[in-house]
Formats: sequence, structure tokens, C-alpha cells
Amino acid sequence: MQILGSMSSRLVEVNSRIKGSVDHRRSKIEHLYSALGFGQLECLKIGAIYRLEGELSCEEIERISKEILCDSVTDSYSIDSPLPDNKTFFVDIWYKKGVTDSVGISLLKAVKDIGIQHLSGASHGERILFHRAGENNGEALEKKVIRFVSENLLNPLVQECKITGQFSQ
Amino acid sequence: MKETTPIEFTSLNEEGLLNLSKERLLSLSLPEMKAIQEYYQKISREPTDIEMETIAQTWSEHCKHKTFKGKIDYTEIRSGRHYRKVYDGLLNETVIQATQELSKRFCLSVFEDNAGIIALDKKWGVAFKVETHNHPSALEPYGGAGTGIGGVIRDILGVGLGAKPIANSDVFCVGEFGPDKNSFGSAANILPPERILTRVIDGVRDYGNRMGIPTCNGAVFFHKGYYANPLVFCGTVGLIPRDKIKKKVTSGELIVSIGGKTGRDGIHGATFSSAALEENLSSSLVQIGDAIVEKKAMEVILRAQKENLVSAITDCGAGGYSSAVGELASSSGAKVYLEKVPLKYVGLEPWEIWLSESQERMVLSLPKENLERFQEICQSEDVDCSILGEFTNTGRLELFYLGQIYCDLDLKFLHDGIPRVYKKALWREPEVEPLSVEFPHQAQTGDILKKLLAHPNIASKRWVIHQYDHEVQGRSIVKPFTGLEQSGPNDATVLKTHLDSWRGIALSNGINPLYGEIDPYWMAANNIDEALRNLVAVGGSIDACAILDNFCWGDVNDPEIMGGLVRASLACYDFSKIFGVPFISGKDSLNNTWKDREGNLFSIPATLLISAIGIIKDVRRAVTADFKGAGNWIALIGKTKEEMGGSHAAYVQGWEGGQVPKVEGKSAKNLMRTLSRAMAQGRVRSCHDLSEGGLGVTISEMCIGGGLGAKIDLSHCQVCPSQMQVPWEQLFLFSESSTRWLIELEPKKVNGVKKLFPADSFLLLGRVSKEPVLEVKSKQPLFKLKVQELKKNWESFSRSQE
Repeated sequence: MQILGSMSSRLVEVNSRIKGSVDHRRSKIEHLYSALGFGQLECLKIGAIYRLEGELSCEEIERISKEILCDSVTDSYSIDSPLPDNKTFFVDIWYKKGVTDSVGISLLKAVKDIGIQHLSGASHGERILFHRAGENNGEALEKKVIRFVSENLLNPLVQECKITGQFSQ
Repeated sequence: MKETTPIEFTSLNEEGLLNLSKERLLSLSLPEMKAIQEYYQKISREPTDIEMETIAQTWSEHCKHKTFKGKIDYTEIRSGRHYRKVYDGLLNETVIQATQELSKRFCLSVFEDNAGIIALDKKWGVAFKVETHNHPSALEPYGGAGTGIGGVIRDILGVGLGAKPIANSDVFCVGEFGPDKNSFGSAANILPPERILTRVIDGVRDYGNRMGIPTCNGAVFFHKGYYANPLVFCGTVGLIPRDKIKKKVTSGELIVSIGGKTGRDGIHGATFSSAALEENLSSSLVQIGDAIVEKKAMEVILRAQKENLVSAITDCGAGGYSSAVGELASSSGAKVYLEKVPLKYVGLEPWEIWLSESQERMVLSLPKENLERFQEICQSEDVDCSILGEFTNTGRLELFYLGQIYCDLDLKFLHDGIPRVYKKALWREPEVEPLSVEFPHQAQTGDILKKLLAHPNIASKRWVIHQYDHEVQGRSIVKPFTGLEQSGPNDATVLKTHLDSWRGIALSNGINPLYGEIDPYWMAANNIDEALRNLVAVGGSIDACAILDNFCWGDVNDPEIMGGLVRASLACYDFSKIFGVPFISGKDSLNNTWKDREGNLFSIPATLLISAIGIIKDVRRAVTADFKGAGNWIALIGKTKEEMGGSHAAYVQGWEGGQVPKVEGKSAKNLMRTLSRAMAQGRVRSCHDLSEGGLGVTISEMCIGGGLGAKIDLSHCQVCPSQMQVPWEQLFLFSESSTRWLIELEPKKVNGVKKLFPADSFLLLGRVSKEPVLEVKSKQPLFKLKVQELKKNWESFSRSQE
């Protein structure tokens, strides 16, 4: 069993694996971004994301992902997924610290129920993968996306976002 | 160890008192602050922070309903003459008085517990409660709505010794969609209505579905007046054995808390609910619920109820433990040790522990000898259980934290020391302008109908309903949709309550704030009429039925807005008495206002939701709204009058003036009883009430549900009064006169049913046709529209939201 040393926080991303399924939210986000005058942006996928904290082995993370986070028929998962390329970026939306994350609480309990004791914290959020679609000014894009997401896709009273990608020139 | 924090209070002047109230978000008025100051001057000490917070929460509008219980000096101006009356407790003199005077034997518990209860049969009672969760839903719609439904479910779990929730209802009032639809673009800190509604639906869906309770009745009303202050009404129905309705706290019993842990969620929720929405509100005002925790707590409560372990129970709602323990101990006393409360995280001040509105918590009074068994049940259901203290007979509320006393309050002062609120109310009889409109050419009648069908208030709510599980528990008989393709709407829900009986319940509602813009009296009358006629439309009867009131009003410090509240309350009394239908529970949410960035205060439209619950003796006699068979006759029950004021046709066409629909109480009651009788005898194949959009919309929806057409001839119809200007056909098709239904009758049953009704309230309009086309003619053809086209319009808004 491989113990992951100092790495105590892992991200598991869960997406639908049904081929041909249409997620209307993607086109709505693209439309909204454009309609509000932000420009063009391609929304590639929207999925759930889970942060697992604690000294967990790879096998344990796999087991949590397969048995708890995923419906093996309809979903696929990936652990600490990298960005597909430098034209894409993630926006992760999380509840702010102190706000009740009921899915995270249930996850913590469920993991203990299947006999894994090292999970010390769990939280649940949403991950959106964007493609920059011709927007080349990275720093301007980052600012625009943060503003767009903060004003339209999350409630700043209880949620916050983190953007991951290559934006510097 | 934490120190108590005395507040320098007894020496403050009036300005200081008001500043303190504002700084601590106490929402207390100057007379209230003075009453508290007098109390502490008398006992010669300063209050602690926890005492001030406890008093503020207990005296909040949310908990004490002080406007409805206060003195109201009401003036009505009619025909230039002034009529004045002082109400010494508006709720007691209207809504509650009607129930007392009706004195129905089937009412088992009214206005005294967390929900009203009526008799289902000799063994069972049915509890019903509808709550609002407006301001939290404006700030964080998902959490606000989820905790709204979670809270009302706990009301049902906390009624008597615990009822089993079997159905949820949801009614939402939100701003119109689209930036051009709202004139409040500069409102502060406000989410747009599109996001509010989407997340409100998500919140109700996730909580209700995860709890395993069907959400099966509701409505959505769009109006620009709800732009920054949505209304979220959540209701729950529960079943309770009749011998488990009474609760009693006895001195020496344990104060036990089960369910969720305590954090900073929702601190000041009770006081905040009556304050205007403005910028820079704290996230601690918002709660996010956890349905799974509540589901497990529910199982504990129902098992404890069966085993007779608990003496009393209530939920932690607004005000948290302060409210729950305070209520249970109101006639006894309590000692609470706050360090026993399980916390989500460290660092909470004692007053925060006491006031927190963290969700999924219930407080019980438990005889000591039952503790062991109760703890076993909690353990088996994986539910946290904490003994917080015990009930006493001292008449005092004593709170301790790590050995130090933090609060020592006289419960009599806490519950009865609040000064009476005094408000002025004014009502001016509106001058009714005749309907001023160049009626469109008759050829445009079909276009008006299509426009009405597509209006969000009338259009299909499929995108909402399909997110809810309305089948879980397997009780549904009449569902939200009807017909072979489940595509047409029903008027109400019918549920079978037990496997071994055909008995059931029907649930319905009535709401229309557009009428309130003309006269809140007739709005209330119409809402009662609508809730009852919906119930009758599925086979219910007003003789075995009760109603609930939910008043949501704007700034009641404005005498004219307050005057509207008096008018609506008077109508509640009048029509409850006329129909013989008692109110059994209710809730008010006042001061639904918000401020824009310039500080201008806006009030929501005066809104009253009436929810009805009725007993159905045999659910096999329930009737749905979809046409059943080609060749059957279509009859209109009720009288159609020139009542276009506040109608949706006027709304979509921009017509002004006109009479608001007026309910003819006595004849309405007779029509409802007669129709119920005909339906109980199995004479009616389908039935649908006429409401928003009138006859045109109703017949379209019946065609959509049945996948059949209809041929309608209006040439023998009349609009009352008969001196109406032409084209009266449009008035006939779109008037919203009250107490009307369309019914479908097999040819052989037409004469028999016709004889039951007065001649002026039964009109054969035409027949159901096999070809799916709605064809309406008068002396000349008016329009001919394919049902598919009607359906496309009716479903267009829902499709845009899916």
C-alpha cells in the first residue's frame, strides 16, 4: 500500500460518462458569458469535485471514488486531473469555510462507514472546464472569468472560486 | 473560560437604546428597548449579551407576531365617509375568531402547536403547516429554500408527540425574468430572479427528495414586485395518531437535543426576517441544511412516539435553542448547560450557541426513566443525542456555561413583558375605472389565448415538477400532471393515506397578488375560493376541509399597506364563516421590503397564500382535469361576469381598469357542495377550475391533458351584467370570475347533473371531439387551433428553463 507522505489533500473529479448526453448548462454558460459582453468562451464540461483530506493511500482514494463518489454505470472519475492543455483552465467553486457543506459531511461519514479511518476532512464543489476560445490575453481573461463566475455562477455570500490554468504571458 | 459579557444598558438614553438595537441587529423598537431597560433597572443589574439576544429573539416579529397581536387603529374611507375601528389583536378578531365560531368537531388542534391538525378518521389525525423562508432565500436561495422545507418538515415532526411527514408543498413568488422586466436595476446585493428561482427549486428538490417525502403540490407566481424579495412558501402534511396530539412538559424531565450539531449558521435569523434587505449582510445569516441528518432524526422521533418515550417535542427553528427551550419551558422553567451542546467547530460564544439556527435539531422533554431506551434508539439510527439540562418549576430560564451562570431571566417577563405594538391602518376604497380598452378584433382572440398559455404564471411548470419526487411513499392518486402522456395540469393533489383504507386527503392552494393591487379584501376572498374550488375539482368537499393562511406583506409601518392587511384579514373571517371552512394554522411574514443603493425602500405586493386540506372518503371517486372521451358534453358551472380587473388577460394585453372578481359567498358555497355531490356519485368524468386566464385557458389545458379537442359554441352564453359591450366573447373567454369549473359529462348524465344546479350556473358549451383541435365559435367562428399548438405555447416557458 502506497502512503502519500505529505500530500494530504487530493481532488477527485466526477463527470458523466454517458456518450451523447447533452448538458444544457454548458451552452447556457457560454451564452451568458457572451450575452453579458465578456466575449467568447467554450465550456467543455461541468462536473462534481471532492477534496479529500488526510493520509490516504492511492488504493483508498480509488476505493472512495469507485464506491462512494461515482455511479459506475453513468460516471467516470479522475484523481488530481491535470489540465488537458494550456488553452484550457478549471474553475472550482467551493463553499466558504464555516458554511455547512452537507455533501462533504455525508462523504466523511460514508468513508468511515466503509472502514477507511484516515480521512480527516471532505468537501464538495463544482468544477467547470473552460477553453479560452481565441482569447489570448491571459491575465485579462483570468480577471474576466473570475468576475463572470463570481457574479453569475456562485453566490459570493457563501461560495468562492479558484481558477487553475496558465494565464501569465 | 469565557466571561459573561454585561452590556452597559440601564443608563442609556433613547438614542443609545436605539443604537444598541441597531448595532446588535436586535430589531427592537424604542418602546421595547425601554421595557427591557425598566426590567433591568427593577432588578438592579445590567443584562448579559445572551439575555439581550434571548429577549430580542423571543420578541421578534417572526416569533411573537406582534403586529397581528397588537392594537390597530383602522380607518376605512368609503364614498367619502370615514369608518373607524380599533382591533385589539387582528388575528384573534378575524382568522382565529372564525375558527372558534365555526367550532368544527373535526378540528383536533388549531393555532396552539407547530401545525394544525384535523381528523382523518377515528384513529388518525392529519397535521398541516405552511411556512415562509423569504429573506434567507433572497440571500442564498439554495440554502434558504432547503432549510425552508427542512424547517416545515420539523414543524410536523414537532407537532404533538411527532407526526410522520407524507407530503410537501411549495409555492414561490419571484420577480419576472429578463433584465427589461424589472425596474429595480440598482437594487443592492440582489441575485437576479432567474438565479433565485433556479436555486430555490434545487434547494426544495434536494431536501424533499433526500428526506423521502413527495413534493406534490405548489405554484409559481412571477411579478416584478418580488424582484429582490422572493417569497418561498414550504408546506408539509403529516399523519399522527389521535392519542399522540397532546404534549406536556413536567418539571424534572430532561431537556434533550437530537440531530444536527451547532455552528454559527443563521445567527439573528429571527430578528433578521423582519428587517429590510440591504447590502453587507453577513453569511452567518444563512443556513445550509443537511437532509440526511434530518431524515435520521425523523426515524428516531417516530420510533420514540410509537414507544411513548417522549412527553413533549418541538423543533429548533428561528431563534434556535432559545426559541425551542423557551417555548417548551414557558409555563415551567429550565436549566440549560450550554457546554453540553455538540458543536460543529470550536470558538462559539455562549450566546451564539444559544441563538444559532443550525438546522436539523429537535428538542424533547424526556422522562429520566426513558433515557436509556431513547439513547438506544438514537444509537441505532446514528443520531447525536445530548442532554442539555432539565425542566424546572422555577419560572426562570437559567443558562450556564462551564459552571458560570450566563442568563437568569423571568420567563413571565420573557414571554409576556413585550409592550403591545400600536399601528395605524388606512384603507381608501379604490375608484374602479371601467375597463378601458379598444378590444382587439375578434380574429385576434386565438392570439390572446396563445399569449396567455405562454405566460409564465399560467404556462406548464413541468421543469419544476419533474425535479421533484412526487411518487415516493407510493400514496399519490391525483398527481401534478394528468392524461395519457401526463402532460395536462391537475387542480390539486390527492393522496391515499393508508394501505388498508380508501380514505385520502386532497391538497390545494390559492394565490393571486394581482387582485390585491386593486383590493386585498377581494384578493383574500378569491384565494380562499380558489383553494376550495381546486379541492372540489378533484373530488374534495368543503364540509371536510380546513385552510391555512400565510400573509406576506410589505412595510406595515405604512398605514395604507397596513390597511390592506386589515382588509385581507376581514375577508378571511367573512369567507371562512360563509364557506364554513375553519383556519387551523398560519404564519405571517411582514416587512418584506428591500432597499436599493440609494436607500429607497420597496415593498412586495400584498400576498396571501391560502392552502387547503380536505378529507376524501373514497379516493376511487377522485376526478382529474383531462378530457376523457370524444362526444362527451362540456358544461360550465358558475356565472361569468365582467371581471377583468387584475386578470391575466389584462396583464398580458396591458388593459387597465375593470372590476376585480367578487366572490358571491353563499351561492359559491352551494355550487361547491352540489358539484362535490355530483362527483361523489361518479357523474363527472373530468373537472378543471377556471382561474388565471379564465375559460380559454381552462379548456385548453383540458384538451392538452386528454389529447382530445373540443367544439365550443358561445352563441347562447351571457356575461353578467348582460349590458356588456361587444365583443363580449373575449370577456367570456378571459374573465376571471370566481367559483367556476368546466366539467365533462357523458351524454346520458347531462340532464341529471343539469337539474342539480341553478339555471344561471349551468351552461352547456359544447362537446369533446376526437380531432385534437379547439374550435370556438359564437355567431361566427372565433378561432380554430390545433391542440398541439396550444400545448407548444403552454410548454414553451418550461422548455426554455429545462
